[in-house]
Amino acid sequence: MSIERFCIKFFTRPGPGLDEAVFIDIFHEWIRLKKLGGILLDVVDYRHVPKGPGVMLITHEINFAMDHADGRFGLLAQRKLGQGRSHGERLLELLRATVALGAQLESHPRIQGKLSFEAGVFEYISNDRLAAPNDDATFVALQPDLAAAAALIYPNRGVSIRRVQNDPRARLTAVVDAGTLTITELLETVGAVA
Amino acid sequence: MNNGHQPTLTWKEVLADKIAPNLAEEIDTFETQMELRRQGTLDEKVFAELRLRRGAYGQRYDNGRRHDGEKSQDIPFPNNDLHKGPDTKWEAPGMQRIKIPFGGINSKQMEVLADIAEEYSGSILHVTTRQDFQLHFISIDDTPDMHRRLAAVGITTREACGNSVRNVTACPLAGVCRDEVFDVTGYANETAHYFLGHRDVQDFGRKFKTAFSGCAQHPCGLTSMHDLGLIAKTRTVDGVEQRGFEMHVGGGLGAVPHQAKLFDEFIPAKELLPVSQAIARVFARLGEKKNRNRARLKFLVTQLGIEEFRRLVWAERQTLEADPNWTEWIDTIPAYEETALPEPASGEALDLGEDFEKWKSTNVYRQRQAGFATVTVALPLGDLTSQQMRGLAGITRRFTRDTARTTVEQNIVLRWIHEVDLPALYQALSKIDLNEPGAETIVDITACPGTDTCKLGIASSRGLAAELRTRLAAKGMQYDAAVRDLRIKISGCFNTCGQHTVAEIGFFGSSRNVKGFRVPHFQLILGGEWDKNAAHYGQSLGAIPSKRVPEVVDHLLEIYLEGRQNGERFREYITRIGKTEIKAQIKPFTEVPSYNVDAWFYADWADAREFTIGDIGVGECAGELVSLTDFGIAGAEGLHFDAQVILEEGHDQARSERAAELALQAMLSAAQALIKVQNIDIADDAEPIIKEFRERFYDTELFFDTYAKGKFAHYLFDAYENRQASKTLDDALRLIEEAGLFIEAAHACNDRVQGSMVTANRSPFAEALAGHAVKAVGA
Repeated sequence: MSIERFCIKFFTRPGPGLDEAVFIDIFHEWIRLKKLGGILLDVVDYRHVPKGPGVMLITHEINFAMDHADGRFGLLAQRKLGQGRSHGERLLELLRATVALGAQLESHPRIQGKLSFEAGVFEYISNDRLAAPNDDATFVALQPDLAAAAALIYPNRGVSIRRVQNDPRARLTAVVDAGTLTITELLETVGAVA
Repeated sequence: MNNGHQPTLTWKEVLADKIAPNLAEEIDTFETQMELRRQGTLDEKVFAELRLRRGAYGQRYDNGRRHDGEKSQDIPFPNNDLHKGPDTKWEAPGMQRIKIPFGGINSKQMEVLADIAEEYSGSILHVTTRQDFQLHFISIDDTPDMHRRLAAVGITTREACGNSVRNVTACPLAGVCRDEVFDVTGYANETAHYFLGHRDVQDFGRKFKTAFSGCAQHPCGLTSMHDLGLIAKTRTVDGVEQRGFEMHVGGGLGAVPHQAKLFDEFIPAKELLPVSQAIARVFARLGEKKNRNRARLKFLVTQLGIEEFRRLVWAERQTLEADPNWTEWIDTIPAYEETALPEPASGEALDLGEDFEKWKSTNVYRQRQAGFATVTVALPLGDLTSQQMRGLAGITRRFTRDTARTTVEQNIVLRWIHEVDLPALYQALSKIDLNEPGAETIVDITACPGTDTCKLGIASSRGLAAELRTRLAAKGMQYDAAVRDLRIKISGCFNTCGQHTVAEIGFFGSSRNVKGFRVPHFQLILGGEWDKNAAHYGQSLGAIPSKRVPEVVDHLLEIYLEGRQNGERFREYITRIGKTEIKAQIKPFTEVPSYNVDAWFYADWADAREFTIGDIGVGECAGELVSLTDFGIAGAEGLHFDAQVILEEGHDQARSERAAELALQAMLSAAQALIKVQNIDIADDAEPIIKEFRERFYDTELFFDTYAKGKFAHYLFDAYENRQASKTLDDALRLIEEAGLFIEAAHACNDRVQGSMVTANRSPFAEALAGHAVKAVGA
């Protein structure tokens, strides 16, 4: 079984208010300057939708969103395609890309300390109801890949992986928790992972 | 990962016994066509029409180029040589349009829509102005599975786009409306299904739109702006009541709106399909096929005249071979009647406070069936998340007999709600953030996708709509009885997908050159009438800088509230004070600070990039000729305005002739202004202007719009050729519209010819903008 489509989300720490319009500026700037890997396509504004994806950066490989689902603000990365022969490799690739974007965002001069990610925790969301339906069997099958990825990016840390009990119609969701960590610290580890 | 599930299952296999065989075969065929295109053995033009007929549309930047605010960049898709249409990259994100006949959906369909939005799009569903759903940023490779999953719950995307019969719309209140003659739901659905894939609708030169209305006096059906509009009617024959329809043909918005013409006062129900089929056959046979800009039915009806069109249709009707499908369904119409749950879902009396009362005052419609209400779920800009959609599916099951409807105002309605359930329903909607008040009021602004995703968009209709919505709601305008029922509708360009011409206050995107810089603007359209099935179309009053539109709206409402007499409605007020006065009122808002003073005006709403049109770059200044041309085009705008004012004074033959003459003069003036860039000595006479315009701007395609090509030039040529012909009021109104569009095109052409000025000390745009900070929505 091979899953191509899945999402991860890093949540933000509570902090001073941030005008999310700044993400529009920054994402357009990144497209112009080709600041990220991948093929950067466009910026979309869904701030008017409650608990929606907010401001999105669309790339050929990943949809990034400053996402408000369930009322929890964070950086969501929705994998559409990319490299990696196995689900585990693809997960690592997505984690690398997301952490890199998150770190750049956090350190951007226009953000000025108003955004900070809880990098020690991420949510995994399968996005393929055929290959990975929202059930226990899928979670059991996912766990080794999540554990392997966590071991690589959170070395020497205790990690818990739990399934989120949600609407059965929704997507299978799991939380990987390695405790408190900044995104800068995570970037160092993720960047070193082959 | 091996989770114990069969690893090689496909949606095709899983859904094999859930999809009707004919639908399954269509999707398989499309999948094969995709493969043939990938292999290069299917022509890309042919494939483009095939995918359009599956609702798989293109999206902005799918030509592989995107302007980043400073320059046009190529998008390096991995397989750049693979196309899904002419100049359309295979791997570029597209849009999927999903037809919902008469807007009717059930909870299972809602859940599947939610699923596919998550898996194939960005988890956002969009309701369109024709009761469809749209998903954006779709990969064409995902479309066969998407179509299968929709087919499994009874939704087909067939003929959602392309030269076909598009979604058949109907009043969302059909069956519960206090004023309807009868429930048109079943008639709309049967019409939609009769024509789906019908052989007589496969050879159209352009799209064909059909709408059903239960009454003549309310706007829900918008029949007067459709190719085929049906208004429910009854008559009594030999003491027996017959159901039928007042049939209208040849309506349409688009760049030049046409009101539909009355085809017949009464078409009995049993003749609905055969007469419609005859109309389709005449359209297919005689409609324009080469010039797509004149291929809609409205042009054929205008060209033939309604009398001749009617004669041809009735003659065609006589040739049709009888088809039992015309009438077999009529006895099943009662099966379309909906009812409520036998008992309230909750009935709990809840004290929900002021918010609930406010919501009730705007979002609840008391049905003609005592004790029941229809609730409008207001969707901001027509959008909702997958999660909200799943929540709404659950609410639909809980409070209704599992039906809901989309509306052309981009909302969803829940019908047959027990009135005692309203508090519980509000509470349930609140939990999924779908409890916004103000449905179908001034804050419920309709906007087409515009420059967010549409290839034709000129300015950001959604960005402007979001800004206006927030500002007006903050002022509580949705509760002000004097203005709450006004409609604001915004299109990203002149093609009217946002239906701006039928709003009391409408806007369509345009562009102006201000001292060498392009600035996003919107044309202000006033005088439309939403009521009476969109009985009146508004007219343009001039272009407003996009960033000043909210001030203009505020000002118009202010002067209306202060100046209205005897409770006159907005349209009556506008008509009374006249266009000259309105122009004077909005003139102060047409000014734009210079770029160095405030660069904020030089970007569109919710966009950080310096405004551009497509990939046209910024060039060098052309010196004095620029100012002569600008002056000439301004003169043309004055003539155009004069033409409109003449008709304000009266509608007699003499005024119609004079207005038409002025419209032609406006176009000649704009054409002459352009010619002066190349020939400063061009005469003032019409004949040399026409000759040189044709040689210098039409034959060279310099005047051509990227997508409309030479359409606007033909407005001038045709008007000049027919200058001696007698003009009716309709002719004059049409010429005025065309003159306005010609002048718009002259502006755009002028930009291309001249380029833009680059000052020596201009700072990078991004820096200038950062210095002023992008103003956020609601900030």
